[in-house]
Order: sequence, then C-alpha cells, then structure tokens
Amino acid sequence: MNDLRSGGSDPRWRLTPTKYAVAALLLVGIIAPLLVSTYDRVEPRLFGFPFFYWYQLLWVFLAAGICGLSYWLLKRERDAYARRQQRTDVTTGGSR
Amino acid sequence: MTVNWVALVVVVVLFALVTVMGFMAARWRRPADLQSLHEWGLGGKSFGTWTTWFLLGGDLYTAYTFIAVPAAMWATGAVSGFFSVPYTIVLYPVIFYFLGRMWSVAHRHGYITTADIVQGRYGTRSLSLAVAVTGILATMPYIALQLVGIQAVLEVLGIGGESLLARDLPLLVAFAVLAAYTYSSGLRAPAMIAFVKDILIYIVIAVAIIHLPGLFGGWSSIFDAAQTKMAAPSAANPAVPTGVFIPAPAQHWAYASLALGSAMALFMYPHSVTAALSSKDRSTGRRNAAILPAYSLLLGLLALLGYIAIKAGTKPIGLDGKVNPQLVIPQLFEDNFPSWFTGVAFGAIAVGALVPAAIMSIAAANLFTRNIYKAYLRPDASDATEAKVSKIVSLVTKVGALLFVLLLDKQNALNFQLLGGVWILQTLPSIVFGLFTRWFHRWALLAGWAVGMVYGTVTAYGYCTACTTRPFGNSLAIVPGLGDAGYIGLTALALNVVVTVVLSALLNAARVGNGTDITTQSDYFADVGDPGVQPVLADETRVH
Repeated sequence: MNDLRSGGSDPRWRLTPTKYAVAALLLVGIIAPLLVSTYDRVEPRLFGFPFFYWYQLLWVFLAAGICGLSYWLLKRERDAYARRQQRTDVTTGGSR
Repeated sequence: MTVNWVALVVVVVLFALVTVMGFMAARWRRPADLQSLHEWGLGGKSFGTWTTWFLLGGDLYTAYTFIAVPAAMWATGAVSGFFSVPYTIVLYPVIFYFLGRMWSVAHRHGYITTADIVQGRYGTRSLSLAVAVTGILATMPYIALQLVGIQAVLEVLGIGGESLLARDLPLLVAFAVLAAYTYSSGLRAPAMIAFVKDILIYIVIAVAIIHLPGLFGGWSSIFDAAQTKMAAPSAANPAVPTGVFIPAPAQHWAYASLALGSAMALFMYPHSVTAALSSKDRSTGRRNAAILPAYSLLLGLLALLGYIAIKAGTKPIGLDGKVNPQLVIPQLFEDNFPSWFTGVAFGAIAVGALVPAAIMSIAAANLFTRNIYKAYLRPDASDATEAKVSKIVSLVTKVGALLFVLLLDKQNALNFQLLGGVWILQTLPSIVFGLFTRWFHRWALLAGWAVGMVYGTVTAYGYCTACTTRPFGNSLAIVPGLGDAGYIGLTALALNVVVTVVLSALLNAARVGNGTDITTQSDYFADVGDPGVQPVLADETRVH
C-alpha cells in the first residue's frame, strides 16, 4: 500500500480531527448554498428583495465566516506542529 | 448611429492614463532582463495578501461580471445569470481544500503551471500534455468573453456602422488593442493596473447601485418588473415563459450544477493558477478565501443591474438593428448618466475586460512555451527565444478567441465562460486528486480526461435551445439518469471521475507502473523559510 502514497512519512499528511472538522465545515459552505429547494421562494422579503435573492447574498458573509474559521483552525494546528518541531530540534541537537 | 463624443473622449483618456500608469509602475521596479519569459510572463515577483486579493479578484471581475452576467439576468433571469452568486460563494470553500498544497508543491519544485504539477507527480508526459492543451483550449472562449465585453462598450459608444465590415469594427478594434497591449507589456503592467482597474470599477458599481434603484422606484418595483417579464411568454417561443425569476424544482439542479461547476473550474484555468501561486506564502491564498467574498456581494448587486435595466426599459439595440443583450449594461449607463460618467463607466469596463484578457493569454502562452515547446519541440531554447515564442502564442490564443466570437453565438456571452469550464473541468482529477493521494493511476486519469472531453464537447456542441443555429449554444443538457437538465461540464466531470476510479482500481490491482513521482509528502506542506522553497517562482527549473 505504501508504494501508492508519496515518499516519506510526514506527520502532517495524516488526517487529524482538526482536518476532519475543517473538511466538514467547508463542505457545509459548499452544499448549503447549493440547496436551491431551501430558498426558492419570494417571501419573506427584505428591503424589497425576494427571499431567493437576499438569502443567497447573506451566504456571502456566512461563507466568509466559514473560511475564516477554517483558516484559524488550520493555523492553530500548524503552529502546534511548528512548536513540536522546534522542541524536537532542540532535544536532538537542532540538525535539520 | 451617432457617436457619443464626450463619453468616447473620457474612455480614451482613461485608457491612456491607466496604460501609462501601468508602464510607469512596471518601469519603476525595472527588472534586469525584460527579454526573458520569467519577466514577461510572470511579473517576476511574489505578492502579499492585498496584492493577491486584487489579482485573484481580478479573475472574477472581468467582462463576465459586468457584461455577461447582467445581460443574462436581463434576458432570461435567475438560472442563466444569478447562479454566478452561489458560484462565487462556494468558490472559496472549494479552493480552500487544495490551494495550500498546490502552493507548497509548486514553490518547493519551482512549478508555475498546472501541467508542471501533474508532470512532477506522475512523470508522464502524455498526461501533462493533455492538461496543457486543455488549459490553452479552455482559455480561448474565456478571452472571447472579454472581447465581447470591450466590443459591447465600443458598440454603444457608436463606433462602427451597419455595413458588413463596419459591423464587426468594434470587435476588431477590441482585438487590436488587446493584442498590442499584451505584446508590449507582459504580466507586469496588468498586475499593476489591477489596483486602478478594481478601484475604478468599485466607484462605478457603488454609484450605479446607489443611484439607479431610487431612480426607478426602489428594489421592490424593480423585482416586480423582472418577475413580470420572466413570466411573460417568450418572444421566440410563446409556449414557454421568457425566463426564470425563481427556479422551479425541475431547474434546481441546473442552477446548482452551473454554480458548482463554475466554482470548481475557475482555479484550474492557467491564469488563476498563476495568480494563486504568485502569493508570497502558503497561507495567503487561504487568508484571502476569508476576505475575497466581498467580491461576491458586489457581483450579486451587479447581476441585479440586469433587473434594473428591465424596469428602466433599456433597449439594447445593436448596430445591426437587432436586440443584443450584451449591450444592456452599457446602454443602461448611457441612458441614465451624464456623458462624462458614462465615459468613466465604459473606461472601467473596457480596462476591466482588457487586463484579465491579457493575463489569460499570457498564462496560456506560458503553458505552451513551458509544457509543449520546451518539453517537446526545443528543449534547449534560450530565454529570449522562449519569450518570443510566448508572445507569438499569446497572439495565437487571442486569434483563437476571435474565432470563437465570430463563429459562435455571442448573444449569450456567459456561455463562452461555461464552455471553457466544460473543458478545463476535465483536468481537475489529474491536478487536484494527485495533491492528496497517489492512488489514482496515470492512465486512468488520462482515460477519464478523454472520456470527459469527448462527452462534454459532443454534448455542448449539439444542444441549442436559446440560440440560433450556431454550435455550442447552451451549457445545459439533460443529465442521463437524473432526467433534469444540468451543467454539461459537471456531468462530464462525473463521467471522468467514474472512469478514473474504475480504471485506477483495475490498473493498481494489475500492478501497472504509475509513473515516477518526484515529490515527497512534506513537499505538500512546505512554506516560506523551509529549505528548498523558492519565494519567487522562476521558470528555470526543468520539469521534463
């Protein structure tokens, strides 16, 4: 099985809970705006905009929030990895 | 046809100003060697969050946004136009999945095109050739869309006439300007102009969105007018309504698949990849995914200008005396704003179509020079020869775009972009799947690509509901097994993936060699500061 993967055994290649969470979050951001049956109606209106139109514009902000949250989650994981790397480097003499 | 002289003068002045600024900015950081492909085709620099934001946004803010989408809204409503809003919304979660890995592997190995990435992962020249050829082909209709945009502005300004030759004059002028501009400037000037262009467009959009709805009785009555028009019997076929105000259940998949297909296609295009890879570190693209949606909001409002034009009773009559929906936005501006502001708006639209078209043709030319010319024809070509070949190919790409405009139905320009998407989507499995796993087999990917290309091209060629008799008139077709219409590109991709998965399983079971992979796992996570990471991508690295 190993020959099918890329060379090396980088720990970052492994799937972590954070990665699953981010993948799920992003999937919501992709699927929800595409479920047309959840918003194919005129009422309730907002500032004269039918629901169909303002609801989709609202998703612009929700998607931005999802991407922002995903960015933060992944950054946290990367930073944790970088700190661990640094500690290992120190204990093993810092050779890279 | 009378020429709107004031507006024309403003357009020309703005155009000249922006171009001079672009060249001055390029000169300001003058590179040592302007003749090399690196300088001409890549801009030779790495960009931070904000520059990348403008560059990536520039991929969306083209004639697609301010000519084609509102035109589609005006003509046939939501399914043909407003899907671009969910398209640009789901775009960012979609690219979030793979942009980081793509950046890392590209910067670790000095890749500048998608074909490079595929070559590095599978070491299979036929597969990377397929990716390169598809990229060049798919870019042509996208450039065609930009030409239609510039043409629309010139036509409303009154350039051209009714005779056979004069009728195509705006198009030919648009082509000549684009060709001259790209040939002399390379990527540097467009990257610099991207700022000015976007700011200009923001001002125009803001004024239009604040001023126009009040002029025509507010949003409520604008939507009512649109709803009435869409429900009225179609002029071409009275048995069906003109368009769609809110998609019926049978149209849900068409709407969703157009949005999803377009979103997955965008970052497979050579020019988008160039922009994404020019960011200065791994996270810039993802950070941008959180702030880029601002563009989507404006895109939605721009789309609604099409509905405002319905309420305003705008009559987009072309020089040939026929209705041409592509003229609706320029006409709306000309009818409702003083000549000087019309000029500013037209200038913004023209520059906004020209700059992306230049970036697209340069990216396609890079793909040819690097992955076809150097890989197959002249591996020992000098830098100067390479740059020269690139310039010629970028011209050829634009001639191809011109042919698309002349041969296909330009009444529905949005379709050009969707046609490009049908093709470019077929490269997605080869490019993206490999970033995550080596399970997919190179020959399976190639076979899947071929099946998707053939199915997509044949289906798109034959289906024509909204157009005259020209080929490639529509991007929707009945999805086999589903019964509803869907975006052809996405159906073709599904077929592509099925073929790829089945064949991969067979070929892997038979232990057929899967090419040489020169990347390692850590390459996909490399960031600035890691050993071997090139902050600025140069094209010196050989991949073939």
